[in-house]
Amino acid sequence: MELIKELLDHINYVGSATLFVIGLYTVLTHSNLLKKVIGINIMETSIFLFFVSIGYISGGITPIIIPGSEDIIYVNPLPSTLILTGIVVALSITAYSLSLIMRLYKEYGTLDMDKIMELRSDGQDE
Amino acid sequence: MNSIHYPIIIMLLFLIVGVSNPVIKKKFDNIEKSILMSTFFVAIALAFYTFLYVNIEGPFFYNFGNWGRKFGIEFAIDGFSSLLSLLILILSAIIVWYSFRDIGHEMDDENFISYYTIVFLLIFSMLGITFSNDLFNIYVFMEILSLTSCGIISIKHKRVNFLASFRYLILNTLGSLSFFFGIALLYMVTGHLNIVEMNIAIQEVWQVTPTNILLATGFMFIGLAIKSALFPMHVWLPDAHSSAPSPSSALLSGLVVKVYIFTMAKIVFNVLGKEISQALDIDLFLSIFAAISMIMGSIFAIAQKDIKRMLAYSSVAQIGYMFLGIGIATELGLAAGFFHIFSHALMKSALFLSAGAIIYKKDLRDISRFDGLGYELPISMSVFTIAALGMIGIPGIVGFMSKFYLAEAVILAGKPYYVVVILLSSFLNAVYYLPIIISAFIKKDPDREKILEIDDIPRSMYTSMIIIGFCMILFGMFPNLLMNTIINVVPTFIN
Amino acid sequence: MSNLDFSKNDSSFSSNLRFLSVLFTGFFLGIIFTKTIGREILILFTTSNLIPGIILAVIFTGAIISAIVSLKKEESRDVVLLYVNLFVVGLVFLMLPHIIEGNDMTLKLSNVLGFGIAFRVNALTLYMLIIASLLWFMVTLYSHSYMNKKEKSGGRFYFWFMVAYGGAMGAIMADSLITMFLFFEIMYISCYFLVAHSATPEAIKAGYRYIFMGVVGGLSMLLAVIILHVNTGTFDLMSMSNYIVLSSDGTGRMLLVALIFMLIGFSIKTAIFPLHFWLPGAHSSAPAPASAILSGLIIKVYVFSLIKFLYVGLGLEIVQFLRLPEFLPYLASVGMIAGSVFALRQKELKKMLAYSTVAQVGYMILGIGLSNPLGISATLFHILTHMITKSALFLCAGAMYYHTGKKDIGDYKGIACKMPVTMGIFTLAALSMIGIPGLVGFMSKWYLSIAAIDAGMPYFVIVLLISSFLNAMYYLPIIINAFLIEPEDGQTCFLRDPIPNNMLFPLVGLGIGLIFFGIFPKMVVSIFQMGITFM
Repeated sequence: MELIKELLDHINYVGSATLFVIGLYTVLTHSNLLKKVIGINIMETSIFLFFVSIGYISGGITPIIIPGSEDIIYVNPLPSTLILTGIVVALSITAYSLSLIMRLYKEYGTLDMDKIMELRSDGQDE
Repeated sequence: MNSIHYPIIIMLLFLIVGVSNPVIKKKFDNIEKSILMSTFFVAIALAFYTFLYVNIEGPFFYNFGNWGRKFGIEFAIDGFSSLLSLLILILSAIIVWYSFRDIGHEMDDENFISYYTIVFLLIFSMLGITFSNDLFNIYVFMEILSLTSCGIISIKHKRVNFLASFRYLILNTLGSLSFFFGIALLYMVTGHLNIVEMNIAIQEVWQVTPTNILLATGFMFIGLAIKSALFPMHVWLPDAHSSAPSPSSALLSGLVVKVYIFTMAKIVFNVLGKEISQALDIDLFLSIFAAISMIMGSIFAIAQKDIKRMLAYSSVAQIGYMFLGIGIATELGLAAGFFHIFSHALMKSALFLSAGAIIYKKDLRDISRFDGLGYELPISMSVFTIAALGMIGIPGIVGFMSKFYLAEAVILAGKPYYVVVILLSSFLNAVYYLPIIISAFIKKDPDREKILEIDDIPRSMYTSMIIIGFCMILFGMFPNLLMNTIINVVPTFIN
Repeated sequence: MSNLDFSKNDSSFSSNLRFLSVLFTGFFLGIIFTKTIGREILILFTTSNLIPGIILAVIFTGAIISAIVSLKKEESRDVVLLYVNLFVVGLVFLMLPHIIEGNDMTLKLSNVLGFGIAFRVNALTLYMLIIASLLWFMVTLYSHSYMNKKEKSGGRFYFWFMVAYGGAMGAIMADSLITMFLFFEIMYISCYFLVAHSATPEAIKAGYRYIFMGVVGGLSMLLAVIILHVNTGTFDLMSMSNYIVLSSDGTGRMLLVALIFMLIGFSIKTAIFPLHFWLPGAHSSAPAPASAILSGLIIKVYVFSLIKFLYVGLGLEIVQFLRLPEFLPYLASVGMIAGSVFALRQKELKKMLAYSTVAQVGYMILGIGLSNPLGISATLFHILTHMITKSALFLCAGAMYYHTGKKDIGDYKGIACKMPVTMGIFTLAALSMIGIPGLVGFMSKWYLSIAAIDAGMPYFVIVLLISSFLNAMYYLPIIINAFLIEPEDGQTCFLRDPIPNNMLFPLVGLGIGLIFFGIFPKMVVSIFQMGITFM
């Protein structure tokens, strides 16, 4: 019971760790280029979730200072702002990798990494 | 103007020139070249001034917008980061000077200007990582760096490049994410992102949550190891370095990798501190990975036929030396590791540039066909030879000194078995570098008489190689020029 | 200088005259320098500690200048080199008066290589320097015609030839371990290019063997140098022995490991039996002038450095602690016998000479292993002996190859008729190897025997005799065939060899040396009595 309670209390951490592993698994095992990019995105999301949930304080409110009130608990705003930057970075990486995938598809005619490697080892490059 | 602003001015200079260049200029001509080179000139002058300033006045912190350490972005400009920034600027200036003529051979005309935009952003992000005193900031610069370093590979429109670039991107992103996860874990226990604040917080909490810190360091280490191509996380490197245009390979192998190693040193010594990282056995892990990398990289390099792939694998081995320097965690060890950052930057860029000259002139990458090349490209092959002998460890060349310092540090730290690893790796270096030198200078090209002619390559290419070759011997004969500064800086890391 | 170019027809009288004029111009320039600038400046200069540095600077600049000149004009390069060599000989002799008075010259360059390098010239060092500079001068004189006719890419050869010269001079003068190591590495890299110069398959194969053994030797020395530096805190040979305490604790064991690796490095470099296998191929496949240098001097530089390391750096106590006197002479004896036995089976003359070098290195190691002052001085004397003898033999072999274009011993039947002077010198040298009294080889065997008896190991005299007998077995047939068998093609005989004079002069010079030092060995030995103060 203790364990389950512990897990339920930290369900956001468990969730992000699970997502991270799912993403990693997708990147490493799937040979489809698009799926690799999706896996990367899942991993990124997991870290964003993790980061934001670190900053969350249960019972806290939106961090906008209300003048006059002293003992209100705010949620830590810093992780959220950092994650905004993180999302931008993630987006640019996704965009760049998608454009590379387009190029690769044009050149090799497939999205399958294994097939591309086969084509490469057949010595058709250069 | 107060000189503490110079580092940020240098970075802005690269950002502005890099981004505005493709907008203003449509044609790659002499004006464009002079704009690029004068940017470098100004930046080097400012960086040199900063370096002197730091050495006289001591290191300083630069807060953006006076926000303070807990919220704002902060740069730490100390002796080593100013020295490293100077190295980055000078070496990349030489490489860019080399590339003016070489890239015409490697890529299409319309990409020239965008190539330099990417290179400038690459330099911008390297400087950013070097100066940053804030882990999240380092992460952001790291992502810019991985995007731009993929960019300078895929700029050559061949399908091998796209493939190499894609694989590099995926693995690099995995590395970045792993690093990011590590940051998150550290943030969880410390509540700070600033390195100085983090260090203070970790001193208090590390005994409460050692698992968290160990896990975080592990994630960060894996991330940086992927990015700096430590064995066995090096799989992306040979493809990426060998298919990229030669100036890009020189930048990637000579500089980009070093920045990640510097970040590793920051994490081990500045974030965690020496005692904590030793208590968590992080130095042990680093040394073991380093030793494996030193041997395996060299063994893989022996099997290569393509010169650039060989050089790429050789980088894997050399990165091991630098990680070993961090792993020893004594003052001399770290100094030796840092010294090797410089010596390897010089040697590997010399090797890649001379390999580039060979490819430029002869379109030749197969090592077994290098016979008699020393007579056709004497300057390129001489620079290659100097650098290769430095890798093997011939005294008088800069590589010898870093081996010597490292070996001494290892013995003084009471781990003499690593000396054997260093010497074995040197021997393996000899096994793959010497045959190239021999076939270039001793054997005879079947199609050509053995008549010595000065290299028939553009002047900008051989002058840049000569400058690097000269530097290798200068710092090899007088290592104290560098080592004195490094020795002065190292105590700020260790204590 | 440009009007002094060597004409294409090497044997013409005019070119010889030009060579002579080069010699005399150098000589007169020296005299004029002495007379005009005044004695004070000369004395100031000759006693200044800078000379070792100047010598090295002159040699290395000479190497670079020769490479540049040879891009423009191959002929004038050789003249330049001759002047450079002459200048170095002059510089070396300039040190003589100061050193003879019993002074040392020391030069420390404290910033080079981070820890500083140091040179010291004393009587023994100067003795080696004189030998080296004279040999290099003669070989440079000789090699001009040989390289022009028999080998290509002279530019590369002379560049590395001069770099090897600089390496050898530096290693001789080295006063600290790291200096020694630096110049050792310069020597082995540059000698590689001499070994593999002709780029024939055998030369390349021998070169591979040579350079990888060199790398292994160099790395094991490096290991030793690092450990010694860490544990003693110094590179200085003179003060090193104070810090070396071979106790059984951790440091002592580390030092022992270091010394063992140092000795392994030295035994590879000096080709002590069983680590000699790289030598015969390397020394025989090089062009003849390079063989003369490699066998005549480079290997001696390592032997000399071994003496310095063992007896100056470590001291007699540690040498005895390491039990070197107990096994080094035996290894040396095996080398002496085995080298000669292998030499017996060779068909190619130069290969035979190279195996003979293996045997002769045994003599020197025997002298070192006896570890008494007589043994050391016998070794030092044998360095001179072997330098004169072996370089004379190699240069003669080169001259015969130059004339006939053949390499095998069987091809030299009756050659004395065509090349009387060359064959005469060869005979003198061979007889000196065998140990005929009146020649220099006899004296070094004599000294070695005395040293062996003095050390209480008289049985090594028998080994020396066996080795001499084996020498006779492979040298005498060549001489007999050369003199007694009629040449096959029945050509008329010459009185004067059909080789250019610049090849002949060094041969005659070495021949005179063979007899001179055989009759007056005391001239050299008196230097050793000055020099061997460390025992």
